[in-house]
Amino acid sequence: MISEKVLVVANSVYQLLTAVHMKSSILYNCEVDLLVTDVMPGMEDFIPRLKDTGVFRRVLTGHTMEINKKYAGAGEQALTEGFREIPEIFRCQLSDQLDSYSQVYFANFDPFTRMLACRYYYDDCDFMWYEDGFSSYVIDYLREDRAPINRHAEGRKIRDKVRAVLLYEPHLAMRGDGLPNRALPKIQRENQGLKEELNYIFDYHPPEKEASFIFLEQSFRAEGIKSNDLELMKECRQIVGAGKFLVKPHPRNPENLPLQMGLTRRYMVQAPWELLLLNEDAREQTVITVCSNAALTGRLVFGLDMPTVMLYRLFEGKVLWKEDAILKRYLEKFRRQFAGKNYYVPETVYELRHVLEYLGGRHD
Amino acid sequence: MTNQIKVSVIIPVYQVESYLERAVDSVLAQTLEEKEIILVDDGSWDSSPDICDRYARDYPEMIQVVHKENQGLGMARNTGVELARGEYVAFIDSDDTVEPEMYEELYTKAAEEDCDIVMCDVQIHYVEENRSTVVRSYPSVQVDLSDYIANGNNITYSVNKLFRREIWDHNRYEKMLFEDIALIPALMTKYPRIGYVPKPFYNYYRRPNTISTTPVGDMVDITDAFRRYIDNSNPAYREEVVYCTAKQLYWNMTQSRVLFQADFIDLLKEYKKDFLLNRYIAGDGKIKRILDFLEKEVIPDNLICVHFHRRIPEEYLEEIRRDFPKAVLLEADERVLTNGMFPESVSRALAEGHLSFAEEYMALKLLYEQGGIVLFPDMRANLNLKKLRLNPIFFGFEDQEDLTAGCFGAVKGHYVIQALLDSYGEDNIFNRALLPLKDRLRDFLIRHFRLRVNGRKQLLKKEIQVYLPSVLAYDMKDGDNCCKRKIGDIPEGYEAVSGKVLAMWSNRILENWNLYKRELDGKPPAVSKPAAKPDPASSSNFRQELDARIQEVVETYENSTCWKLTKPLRMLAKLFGKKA
Repeated sequence: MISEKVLVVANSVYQLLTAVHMKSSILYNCEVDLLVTDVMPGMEDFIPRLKDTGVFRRVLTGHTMEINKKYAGAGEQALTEGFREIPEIFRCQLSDQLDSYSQVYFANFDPFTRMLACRYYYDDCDFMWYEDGFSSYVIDYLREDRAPINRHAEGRKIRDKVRAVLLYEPHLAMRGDGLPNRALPKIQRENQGLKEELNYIFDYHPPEKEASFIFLEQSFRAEGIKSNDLELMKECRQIVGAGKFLVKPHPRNPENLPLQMGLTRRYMVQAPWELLLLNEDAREQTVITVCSNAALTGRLVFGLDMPTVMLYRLFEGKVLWKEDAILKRYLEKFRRQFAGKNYYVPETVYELRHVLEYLGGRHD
Repeated sequence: MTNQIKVSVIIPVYQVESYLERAVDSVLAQTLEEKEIILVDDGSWDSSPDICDRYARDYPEMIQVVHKENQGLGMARNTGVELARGEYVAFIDSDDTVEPEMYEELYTKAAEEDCDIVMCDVQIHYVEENRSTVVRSYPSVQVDLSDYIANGNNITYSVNKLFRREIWDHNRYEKMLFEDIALIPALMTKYPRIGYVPKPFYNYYRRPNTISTTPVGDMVDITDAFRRYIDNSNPAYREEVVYCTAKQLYWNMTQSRVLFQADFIDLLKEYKKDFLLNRYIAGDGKIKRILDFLEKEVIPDNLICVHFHRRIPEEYLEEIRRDFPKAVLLEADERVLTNGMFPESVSRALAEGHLSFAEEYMALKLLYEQGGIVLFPDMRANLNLKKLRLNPIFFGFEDQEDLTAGCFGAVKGHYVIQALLDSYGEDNIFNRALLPLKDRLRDFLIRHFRLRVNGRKQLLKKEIQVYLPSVLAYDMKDGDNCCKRKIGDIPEGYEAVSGKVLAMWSNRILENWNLYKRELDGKPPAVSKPAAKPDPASSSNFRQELDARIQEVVETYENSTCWKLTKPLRMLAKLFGKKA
C-alpha cells in the first residue's frame, strides 16, 4: 500500500505542536513534509531538532512573512502580479522544492497559503484547515468583504480547495462559513512518546517555580485598542499579592508596560506556553487573562481543567477584537458548554476579588 | 339623689398633674347642677391620684374616684360608665376643658328632643402655635344622619357628645389606642336620634409630643379602629360610612400618619369592593385619589428572623413588640433544618459550620414564600422601618462599597428574591467559597440592575430601592434611620458608626454644600468623575445622575428650616439688589 503524501504548514509554536501531534495521530500512516515558516518566532532554533526526530519525511523552511505582509492588504493589481509570480516566490523563499501531495494542512489563510492553493488547484489535493486557537472557531476568513484578496480570482481559489476544518472542539465553531468541522483528537498528556518528542523539539527544560497566578497579556496596545487591561492587572495583583503574581507579556506589544509600571516581576520562562501546559502540573497555577486564546489552550488541546479566570466581562475598550460580537458569543459558548469546574468569568470586580481569594490569593 | 343626676361626666386620668385641676374645675363650673364627676385614675404615678383624692374629699357628693391599674383610655372610660348614674353620660379628657354651659345646653337639647346623642362643636387650641380654630360639627341644627356621616365633622370624638346612658348597656370601648374611632361613629349610625347644639363648648388642647401627635407603634391600631367602624356600623349607612372612612384614611395616609401608609393600604385592599363601588368616593375628585393606592404593592407586615443555634435577644423582641405590635414575627431556628431539602451549598455550609450562610438562605426562602422584612437578630429596628413596606423590594448599603444583609424586604414571590434564592443552587463563587449574602447581593444588583457602588440611594429599574447606609445600617441622626446593627453596649446618647461610613458622610455633606453653592452661583458644577469602575455609567447617565443629585441637594437646603427662616431676608436683599 502506497502511503499518502501530505504537507503541513506551521506558522507558530501552537501550530507546530499540533503538526507533530497530527503526525502521530491522524497522519500516522502518511508521509508528511513539514513546512515551518519564519512567521514563527525563533523558527531557526527548532529546525535541527525537528529534523533529528525523523518524525517528518522532510522539514522545509519558508520565508513567507514578507510575502504575507506584502499581499495581505494589497490591491487587485498587486495581487494579480503576486499570484503570477508563484513559481519564483516558491523557488526563492522555500528551502526545498515542494512535492505532489494528496493533502495540505494549514492554519492561516495568509497570502502564501493561498498561493499554495493556486499551486495545487488543478491537482487531486485537498486542503485541510487545522485550528489556530479560537480564531478558527470564530472568523469567516474567506468572507468577501473582509479583504481584497478574498475577492481576487486567484486569492479566492483556496475556497474551492478546503475540504474540512480540524478543530479540537468542533461543536464550538461558529464561523458561519459553511465549511465542515471535523474533530482533531486531543493531545494526551500521558502520551510519553509524544511528550518526549515535543520536549526535544522545543528543547524544553522545566522552569523554576513561577508565580501561582499568571496574567496572560494580550496585544491590545499593539493593535491600538485602548483598554483597561493594565487596571485589571493592577486589581489582580492587589488581590493576590505581588509575590504570587506574574504577567506574561505579549510579544507583539511594543513595550513591556506591566513591568515598567511595577505590576510584575520579569517573566523569565523561555519555554513555549503550550509546553508548560504539557509538562507542568497546571492545577497549581491560575491563569488570568482578558480573553487570550492561550488560556483556553489547556482545555482545548489537552483537556486540562486548570484554574482560569477570564476577564472579558470586565474589559473596557472599544472592542475586544474585530469580530467582537462573535468572539463574545464564542467565549460564552465555551463557558457554558465546555469550560471545566475551574473556569471563572467574573462579572464584577467584586466577584473577581472573591474568585481570586478563593483560588488562593490573599492581600499582602 | 341618683334620679336627680342628669349628666355623669367621666374623666379618665393618666399622668396629667399639670392639667387635671383645670379640667375638673371646668366641669365643676358647669351651669348644670345635677351632675356627677367620675375621676378614673388609670394607674398614674405622678401626683394625679392625689389630686383626684383631694377633689373627692372636697366634693364627696359630686365626685367619686376610682384608682385602677393602667389599661388605657378606653378601659378607664368603661370603668367610669359602669359607675355612672346620670341620665346621660359625657366624657372629657383630663388635659382639656369644657365651657360652663356645655352640659346644660346639651342636656336641654336631649331632653327636649328625646335624643340618644347630642353633640356640639369643638374648639381646637394649637398650644405651641398659640392659635385656635373652631371645627363645626355640621352646617345645620337639624342633623340628616346620612349627610352627617358623609360630610359632617367631629364624628369620631367621644368628648363633644352627650350619650344616653342606656347606650352603654350594650356598648363598650375596646382596649386600643384609637378607641374613639372604633366605637363612636358606629354608635352614631345605630342611634339616629341625634341632636346638635352648634356651639364650640369643648376645648381640645393640641400639643406636640403627645400620644395623638407622636407616632408610636401602637398607632397601627387605627386600622383596626376603621375596620370596626365599617363592620359595626348600621348597614343602612354603609355607603356613607365607607366614604367617611375614605376621607379619614386619605387624611391619615397623606397628611397625619404617612408612616402607617402601608397599613392603610392593607386596609383599603381588604375593603376593596366597598371603596371601588362607592358613589360618594367616585364623585369626590380629591378623595377618589385614594383608589390609586389600591394599585400599590405593599410588603406584608411580616418580620422574618432566622436564628440558628442562637436566641433572639430580648431587646430585639421588645423593640418589635413596641414598634410593630401587629407585625407577624416569622421566626425560624435550627429546627427548620430537619425538614426540607436544601441546595448542596447550604448543606455544605451547615456541615462546615457556616451557620450564617444557611441562615441567610433560609431568610431569603421565607421572604420569597411569605414576603416581609428580613431582620436578623443582631439588627435593631425602629418605627421608621414601616415606611419601607411601601417599596416592592428594598436593600441598603452598609457603607460606600458593601450592602447590608441584616435588613431587607420584599413582597411575596418577588422575582429578585427568587433569583437570589436560585443562585444558591448554581455553581458560582458565592457558593463555592460560601460567601455572605451581602456579596452575592451586590454582585447580583450590579450585574442585572447596574447598581452603582457608591453608597448612595438609588432606584433600580424603577422598582428596587437601595438606601444609604444611614437607613439600614447606622443611625446618623438625620431622621432617616429605620434599622441599625447592634454593636456592643454603647452608652446612652452615643452611636457606633464605622470609620468608612463616617468618612463617606463627611464627604457627602461637603460635596452637597459645594454643589449647592455652585448651583446658586449658576456655575456648571465641577464634580470629579467617580473613580473608574469596571462598569461605569455612560456620560449621559452621569449627567442625569448629577442633575438628580443637584436637585436633591437644592431641595434639601430649600426645605430646611434655616432656609425658610431666612427667606424674608433674602427677599429683602433681592429687593435692594443684593444677594443674601
